[in-house]
Amino acid sequence: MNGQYKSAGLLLCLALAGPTFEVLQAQTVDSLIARHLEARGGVHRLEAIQTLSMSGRAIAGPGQEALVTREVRPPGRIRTEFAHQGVTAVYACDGSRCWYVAPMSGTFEPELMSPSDTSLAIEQADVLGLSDWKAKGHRIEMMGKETIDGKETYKLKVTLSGGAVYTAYLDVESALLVRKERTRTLGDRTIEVETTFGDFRPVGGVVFPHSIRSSAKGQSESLEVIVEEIEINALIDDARFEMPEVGPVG
Amino acid sequence: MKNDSLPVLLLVLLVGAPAASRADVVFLKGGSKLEGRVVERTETSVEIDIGAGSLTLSMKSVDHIEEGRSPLDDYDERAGALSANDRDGWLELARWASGVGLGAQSQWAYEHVLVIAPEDPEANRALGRVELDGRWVTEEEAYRARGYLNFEGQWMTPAEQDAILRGREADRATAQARADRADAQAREAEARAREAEAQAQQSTAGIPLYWSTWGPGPSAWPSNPLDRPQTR
Repeated sequence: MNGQYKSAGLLLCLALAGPTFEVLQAQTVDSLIARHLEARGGVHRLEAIQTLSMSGRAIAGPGQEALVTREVRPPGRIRTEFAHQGVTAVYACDGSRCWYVAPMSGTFEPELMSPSDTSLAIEQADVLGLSDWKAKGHRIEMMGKETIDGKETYKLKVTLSGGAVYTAYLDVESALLVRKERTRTLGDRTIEVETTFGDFRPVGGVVFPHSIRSSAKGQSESLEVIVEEIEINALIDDARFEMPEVGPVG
Repeated sequence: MKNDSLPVLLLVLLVGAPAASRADVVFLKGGSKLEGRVVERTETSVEIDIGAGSLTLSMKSVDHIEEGRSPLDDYDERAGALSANDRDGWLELARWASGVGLGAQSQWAYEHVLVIAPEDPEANRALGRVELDGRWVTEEEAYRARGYLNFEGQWMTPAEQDAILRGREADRATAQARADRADAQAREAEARAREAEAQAQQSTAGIPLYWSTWGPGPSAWPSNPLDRPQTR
C-alpha cells in the first residue's frame, strides 16, 4: 500500500516536473535573449536599422591583408567587396538572387552563386541577429554553460526557420555573442566553422563586434575582419544589390 | 663616351618616370574594379598591370576605364624617395602598403628591410618568419627543427602521422572485409581521385577563408597573378 502511494507520488512529480522544466527553460531562454538584445542596444534600436555600411580590413596572415566593405539592407540584401592588390571583387544578393564578380579568381563577369552559397549569403544579411526570433520562426534551446577563452558562457542551439542550425555562446556577464559555431558543407567535406567576436563598441547606440575571427575548428589558420567604420542607415541604392546584365562590348 | 651618355640616360629615366607611374582604374560591370596601369588596350581586350602581375580581360566585361592615381603610384613615389638604407622609412612604407591592400608591395618593402637589417623583428614577423633559438627562420624551418613534418598540408609529429596512417589502414582493412574485392577497389580508386582533386584544388586555391557573419567573400585567398596567370 505504501509502495503504491510512493509510485503515484513519483508519477505526479514527474508529470509536474516535465512541463515545469520546459517552461523554466523557455523562460530562461526568453530572459537571456532579452538581456542579449538589451546589451546590443535594445530591440528598438536594432529594429530601427534600415541599412548598415561597414568597412575594415581582412587579415589572413603575413602579406595577406585586404580592404573589405559590407553593405546590408535587411531582409536579404547584402553586398560585400574585397580589395586586394588593387583588385576589387564584389559579392552581392538582391534578396533572392546572389552573384559575384571576382577578377582575381578569373571571374570577370557577374555569375550566380551556388544554391548553398546563396542561402548562406542571405542568412548573413540578417544583421538583426536574434531580435524577433520567435516571429521569424527560429528555435532556441539552452544547452548549458561552457567556458570560452577563460570566460563563462551560455551555450545555445539556434535552429533557423530555414533549417540551418548553429551554436551560439553568450557571455554570462555581458550577454553578448562571443562565439558562433556552424557546420558548412564544401563539396563533399563538412567543416565546423568557429567564429569569435570581440572588441565590442557602440555605434549609434548599437553595440557591434569590431573583431570577427573565423576558422575551421581546430585549425590554426584564421581570417580576421577588423571593422574600422560602421554607418547606420546610410543611403544605399538598390541597384548595388542587383545583378548587372553584361551586354556587348560598349 | 660613357661619361657623356650617363646624364642623358638619367634624364631619360627621369622624364620617363611620370609616364610610367600613370595609373588607371578599369571598372567592371557589377562594380568590381582593377587599379593599376593599362599596358595594352584594344577594341576587344585590355591588359592591366596591378603591381603584382598583369591581367588581361575582355572589354565585354568592362564598364569603363578611368585614368587616375592609384596607391601603386604612391608606393612607387614613396619607395623612389627613400634611401636604400633607410630602415625606418622602408618599415613605414611596408606598413602603409599593407594598410591600403598592396600586399605584394608590403612584402617587397619588408624584404628590403631584411636586406638592411636581417634581424628586424617586425619585418621578420610580417614575412611569416619565427624566432628559433635566437635566429629568424621560416615557419617551415621552425617546424622541421622541432621534428615536425608536413603531411597533407598539416604540420604534425611523426607519431601523429603514423597514427593517421595506421587508422586509415585499419579503416581500409575493415572496408575491404565488408565488401567484395572489386567494389572495394573501385571505391578506393574513387576516393583517391577525390582526394587528389581536393588536394590539387587546395594547393592552387591557397588558404581557405570562412567569412561567417561578415557576408559572402572569396573562398580562398587570391593568388597573385604572377603565381597563377588569369587571362580571359
